[in-house]
Amino acid sequence: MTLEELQTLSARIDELEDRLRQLPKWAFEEKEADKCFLTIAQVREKLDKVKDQVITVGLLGGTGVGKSTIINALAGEEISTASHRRPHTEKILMYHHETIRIRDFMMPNEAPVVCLSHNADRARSLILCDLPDFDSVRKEHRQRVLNFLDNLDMIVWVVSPEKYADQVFYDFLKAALEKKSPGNFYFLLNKADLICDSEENRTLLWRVVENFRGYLRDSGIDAPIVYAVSALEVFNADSISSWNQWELFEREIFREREIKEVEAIKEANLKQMLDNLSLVVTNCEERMLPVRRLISQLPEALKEHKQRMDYQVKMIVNAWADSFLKNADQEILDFGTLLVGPSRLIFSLVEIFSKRRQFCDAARGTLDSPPDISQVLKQLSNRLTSFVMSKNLPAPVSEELIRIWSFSELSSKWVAGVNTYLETIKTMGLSGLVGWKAFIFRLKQYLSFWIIALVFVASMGRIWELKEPFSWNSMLWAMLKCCERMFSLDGFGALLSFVMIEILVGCYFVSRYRKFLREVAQKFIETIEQEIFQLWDDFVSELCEDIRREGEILLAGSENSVGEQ
Amino acid sequence: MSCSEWFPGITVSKETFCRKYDLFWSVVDLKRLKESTAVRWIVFVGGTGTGKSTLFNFLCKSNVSSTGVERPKTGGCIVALPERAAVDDSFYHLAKWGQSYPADGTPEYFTLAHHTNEKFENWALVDTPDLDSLIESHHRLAEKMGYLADVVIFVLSEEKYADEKLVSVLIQQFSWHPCIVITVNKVTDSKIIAADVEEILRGHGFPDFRTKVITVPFFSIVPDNWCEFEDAILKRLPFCLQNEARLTARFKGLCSELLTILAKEREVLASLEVAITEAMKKSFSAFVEKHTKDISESARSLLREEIQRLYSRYDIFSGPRRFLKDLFFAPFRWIKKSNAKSKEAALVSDAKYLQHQLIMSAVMGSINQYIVDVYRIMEPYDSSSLCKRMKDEKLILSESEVEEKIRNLTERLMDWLRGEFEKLSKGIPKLKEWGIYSSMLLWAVFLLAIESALGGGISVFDALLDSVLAPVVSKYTVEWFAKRDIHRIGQEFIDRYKQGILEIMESQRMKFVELLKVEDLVKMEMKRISSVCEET
Repeated sequence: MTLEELQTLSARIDELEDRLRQLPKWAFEEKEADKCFLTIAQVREKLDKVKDQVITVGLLGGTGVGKSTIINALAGEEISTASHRRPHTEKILMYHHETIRIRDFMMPNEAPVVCLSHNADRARSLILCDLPDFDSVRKEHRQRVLNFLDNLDMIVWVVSPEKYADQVFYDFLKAALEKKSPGNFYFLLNKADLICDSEENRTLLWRVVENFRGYLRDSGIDAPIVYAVSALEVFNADSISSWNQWELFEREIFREREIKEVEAIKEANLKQMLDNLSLVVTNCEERMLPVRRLISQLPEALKEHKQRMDYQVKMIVNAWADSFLKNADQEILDFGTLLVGPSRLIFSLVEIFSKRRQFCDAARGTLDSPPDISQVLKQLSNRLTSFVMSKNLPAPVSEELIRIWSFSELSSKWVAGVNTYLETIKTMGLSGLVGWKAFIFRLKQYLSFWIIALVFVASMGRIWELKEPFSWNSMLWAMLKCCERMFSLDGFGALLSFVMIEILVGCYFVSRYRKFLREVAQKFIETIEQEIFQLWDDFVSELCEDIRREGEILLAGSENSVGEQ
Repeated sequence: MSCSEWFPGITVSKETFCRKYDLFWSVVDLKRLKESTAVRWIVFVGGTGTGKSTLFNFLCKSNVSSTGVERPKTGGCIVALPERAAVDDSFYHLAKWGQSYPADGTPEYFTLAHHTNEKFENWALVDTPDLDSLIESHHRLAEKMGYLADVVIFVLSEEKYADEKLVSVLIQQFSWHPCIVITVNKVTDSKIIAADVEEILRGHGFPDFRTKVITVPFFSIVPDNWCEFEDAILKRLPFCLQNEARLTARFKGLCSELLTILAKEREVLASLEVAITEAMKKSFSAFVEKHTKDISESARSLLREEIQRLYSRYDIFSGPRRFLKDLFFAPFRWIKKSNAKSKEAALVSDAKYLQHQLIMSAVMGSINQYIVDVYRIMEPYDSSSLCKRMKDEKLILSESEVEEKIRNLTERLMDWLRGEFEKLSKGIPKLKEWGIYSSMLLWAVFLLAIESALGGGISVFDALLDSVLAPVVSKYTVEWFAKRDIHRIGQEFIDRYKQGILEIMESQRMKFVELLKVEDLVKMEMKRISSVCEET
């Protein structure tokens, strides 16, 4: 492999690893994640070994097809026993040239292995392996073979005329295709002598071979290379029948391979593994798509509902504010100092007679209890929950999402937010009439009351009857007259009317005062309403943010949790 | 309707059940065939390439079943009847069965032929496809034929006698059969191989008395007059005829298997329906509990207007009363809230709308909660197709739908209310009306009497006082008379309101329960199956 090719392969491994790391845990099926990372590690390890000039060839097949006979024929002597009794071969036999240190070429696994060395030069760079079967009642044989697959570069699949249509063979072939390139497979139809013992039956043999090749093509081998052989004939007899393709097969196996070809063989297997991994990763990425879609859809769904919820929240806050208003317009407002004289008196009287005193304490409570939008929150929570649950997402995903908008979460957040706000309100004072406006109001009152009083005194004292206006004597005289008058019956009537007029004027000022109170309270309430509504808006946007953030976490890779080798 | 259409697939996957179901009905057909014919049946099953068809041809004494090197060879069943047997309708029925019945749809043919072996005069010989090739439908067909057999000849070969697939099929699907002859074909050393096979079978729990294995030696050229195999089979036949009860037992076993699964499905469906209904009842009562106040407020606001209208008919002094009230309390209005009246009116109408909205959102909230509850109920059966259909978005009542239903409800209620009050006002029996008027009169007379007694005659002042008191008296009189009726109407109004909301929630429940109706189909199938099972 040239440096370029090596680099391309390395880059591909790195790319796949990156993609793997970016997948969240829930996108994998059970244990798939570990398998994937294991594959990456294996590919990396094998990449280093590509330079080794040794090819490991394994014989794979069902029990009784003749694998041991074949390896004996290849070796030229009986290195592995064959028998009529089944199953026979239990251990893996590795047949290698004496110059090869076998331990260097094996991945660690626990298969019982027998190593035999030879000095046949023609097989200098080969390791031939006889393996147990994969279809007998001894299930451990199959596992052993599966585990050993990692060590093989080329596979010779062996069938017999009886077994070439067995389902288990094709199942195993499919499993091997995940790790090995089909270009490195050879197919042997052993025991061909059972079909064809003479020239005449050659057509029969070819029919079988074609039948077999058809099945292989169906299983994904595009150009299957099938040799019809009889290993027994090769082993026992001196001459080989013309239909026995053993020599072709043998030549192919022992062919001197150039470095490039050896590397290409190993590289092909690596690529096969990467292709398979790529498929798995793509599947996982596809599994993420609906989740991604949902998370982008959620803020939309939220906004759709928001309009309706806005209205409801507005109504609730209005009602809350109104009840607040009805009962407690004075609780936070205390401008009693604005009223003077009779108006003050009337105000206090009214307060005593009205039940407002009782409401004061109850009203104080309203600021402590924020508007109750639990209905709306509940509805929001349930709507989002049913939306997510109907999408059939993997359980960890939907659970995490549903947790964000659980009713208790939302409720506690909202209550906390509103309460903090209301606290600030309580400490805040309210400005009322300040400065010159207050002064003018009080001035008006004073003026009215004093003018009336003066008029009363003046009328009592009959000022207009005074001959000499505005001398101290006449004033004194008027005063004395006034006092005298006061204690007569007329005076009594006059006093009464004076009091009535003062009271009426006082009532007028009280009503003016109340109107003012009302306006201030109204404005205050409106501000509170607006701010609470703003709080609601912020609440919803924060929820959207939370959802988006959680979505990012869910879609992020699981770098810490999935282990590396 | 095919099996996968009606089977809910909650406790057991559709695939597993439908395979059993298909097997069952095939077996029913085969049983009928068996009962309607006089012959007994020998059926050959085994692995591909083991030489089944060759042995079959041996016994038939002619090449009825084709053999060959291509695999798998035997694609359908070959039925070889004794030469003199009549071929009647039941066999043609079977031929049709073979072509169209298997659920996988692969065309497989039943070939009818004759065999010329007199020793098997009362026996029909059947060759089947294999049990282990890559064509799966072969395996299923061969398994079915086991139920037709009085004798099963299970064929292994020297190469295949230790194959996992064949051995496990033998154990799992044929070991129940009372009469199996295990034949190992193409054997070179019969004693050792036979012992090996028996060892393997014993290791898999195959009962001892059956592990008498026959071996057939390997012939490169099939001899004409070799009788050992034939004799071995003939020796077994009498023993085989003694254990027929097992076949029936096996069939009953199949019956009960199917019925158990179906019963379980029904049980789950029924429990789901109960759970869904319970959840709705819970939802509704929670709703009522929390919102009784809202409901009565809402009801009261709607009732108020009607009641006012009722009073005013009898309240002859309402006009003057209002006038006097305005007049007398004018100064105090300066003290009282000035804008109170208009604000109050606005509040009332807002309150009504608000109540309506609150009810709407409360109902919507309850329905959403209910839906979430239903999804949680379905959680254990998440993977079944039933669950997926239940989670369909279209099943959920949308907000506009609920709004419309509530609006309809309110309209209906208002109509009913007006009707009731019409009836009430019309129907206050004349006696009661006279009662109202007369009592008012009595009160007036009583007051006047007192005043004249106390004040010595009736002055203008007294008259003024009376005109203030009189309206109050009339109001209370009317109220007293109509109290019970008004109370009754109020109660019924609230009940109807609640009932209406219950109906809305019911409609959501019905949408879920519709999907569970498949239980009826399951019940029907159960009846069919049990009636067939009972016949035997």
